[in-house]
Amino acid sequence: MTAEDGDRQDRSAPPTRDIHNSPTTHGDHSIAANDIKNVIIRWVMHPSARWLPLLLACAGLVIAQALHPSGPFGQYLLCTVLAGVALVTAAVRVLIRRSSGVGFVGALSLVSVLATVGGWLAFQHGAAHADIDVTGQVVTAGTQPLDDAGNRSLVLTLGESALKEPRERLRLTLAIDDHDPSGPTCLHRTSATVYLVTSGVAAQEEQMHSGSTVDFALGARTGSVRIQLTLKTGRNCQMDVRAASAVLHDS
Amino acid sequence: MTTPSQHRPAPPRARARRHRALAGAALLALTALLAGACADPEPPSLFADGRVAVGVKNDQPGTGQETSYKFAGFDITVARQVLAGVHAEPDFSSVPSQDRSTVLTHHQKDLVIATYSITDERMKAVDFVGPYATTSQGVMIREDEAGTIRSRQDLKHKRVCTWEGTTSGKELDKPAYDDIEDYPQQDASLCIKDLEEGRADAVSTDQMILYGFTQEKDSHLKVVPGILFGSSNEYGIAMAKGHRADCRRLRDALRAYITSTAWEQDFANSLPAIKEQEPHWQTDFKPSTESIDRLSCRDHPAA
Repeated sequence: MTAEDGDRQDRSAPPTRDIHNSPTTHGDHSIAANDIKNVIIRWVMHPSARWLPLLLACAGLVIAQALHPSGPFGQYLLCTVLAGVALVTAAVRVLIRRSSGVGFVGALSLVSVLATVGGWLAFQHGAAHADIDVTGQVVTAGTQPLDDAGNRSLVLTLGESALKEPRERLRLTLAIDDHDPSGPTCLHRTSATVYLVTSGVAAQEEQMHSGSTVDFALGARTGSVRIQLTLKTGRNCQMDVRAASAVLHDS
Repeated sequence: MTTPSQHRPAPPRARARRHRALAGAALLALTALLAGACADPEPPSLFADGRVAVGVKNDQPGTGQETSYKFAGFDITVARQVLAGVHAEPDFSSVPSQDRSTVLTHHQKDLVIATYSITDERMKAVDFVGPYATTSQGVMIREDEAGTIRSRQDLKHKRVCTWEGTTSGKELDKPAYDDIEDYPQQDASLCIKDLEEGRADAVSTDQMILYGFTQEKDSHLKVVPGILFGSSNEYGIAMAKGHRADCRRLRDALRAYITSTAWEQDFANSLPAIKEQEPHWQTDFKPSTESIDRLSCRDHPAA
């Protein structure tokens, strides 16, 4: 084969594909797609875009923390994982050398931004359905200690302020203790009947021991919660009752 | 005779392999030693040598009494029966009420079986196996006073003796009993002496103990059936904390004893006065197995 043949062959062969700009060879749609692609690539590879995913992830984290989310850490696990992914990928994007491939840099930026958005959505969902600890807001009405004779009942209430964020259920744990720990113990002979008497909610009755937990359904919009407690204990026993834990939560 | 190959030195690769194996074994041994040294030492079993030092009462007829260097009473029988279940025998010696906890925490006794009530506070200091008996706090008077002291109201402004280190004294200190002139003595025998000699109008402690005193020969004392104070006392076998495996063995032995007919026989033999005067003694004084599970080998009563 002569050099002329070689030149001819080169001229007749299709031109090599330029990934940055090949607007004219495959129709109108391809032209538009390639334009968008080129814009994205330029944005991704632009020096000022290096910090953008990291800034976005950090801003999300700062705002989330400033909102003081309530509830246990477990409810924000997905949010935390996504925030970690967003931060790590964004940090790698910042530290990566200029010579790295466009695809890799683009993937890092994309993953970081998507993880930030996903983390924020997970945070919003967690905050909207998070458990709310209202233990300190349970008001106990009645005279303590309770006994086996004339003073067997008390009422536990949760006011409007405790219920300002609506939740479907109330998880209540009772602590029952001997009034006089230096006297004979009555704890093993003591139980309580708790009865939810809140308007708009079906009455619910449960038997409890010290340390046991009940889960009351509260309905959609409950203004206040009222729980009647009646103690059953041994002869001449005197017991103290309190809410060890009260947590509003969604199913 | 050796073959020539046995004298031949091992090739370098085989030597290296052997050295690595030796180093690995040494590392394993060292790790095992360190793990053993760092782990909590398992205390030796209280029942290992077959003899157990048991603190009991020596001045309470029916529950724990020493006569001519021999101990007798329901506590003594329970100790023998339950320890037989763990293949051990008791060495009894007396312990005053106020020292029942300290002889255990200072390791002077292995067990205390001395009409020792289970309380939440005591469960934090010692482990209990029990209850092995349940009793209420009552009142004992002289027989000649039987016509005048028949109810709680009759004790108004009366001198009632209790003794130190017991839950009975603490119960009468409550405001509800302010109209009773209760006073403490050092031990049961001094209270009985005060009652017999007229310095006290009544003695108050657990009914099991009181009925024991009424069984004494020539006793002119009487338990008033209608007067009860406070909640039921549950007697437990106490031991120092840190012996939970022994505690659970003893609990299982006690559960087996309670569910057998031996408990009723032993109780009736030690405290015949209760059998005679309390028609429901089997239900009133015998604990349930559920209460044994809820109070034994714990730092806090289970509900």
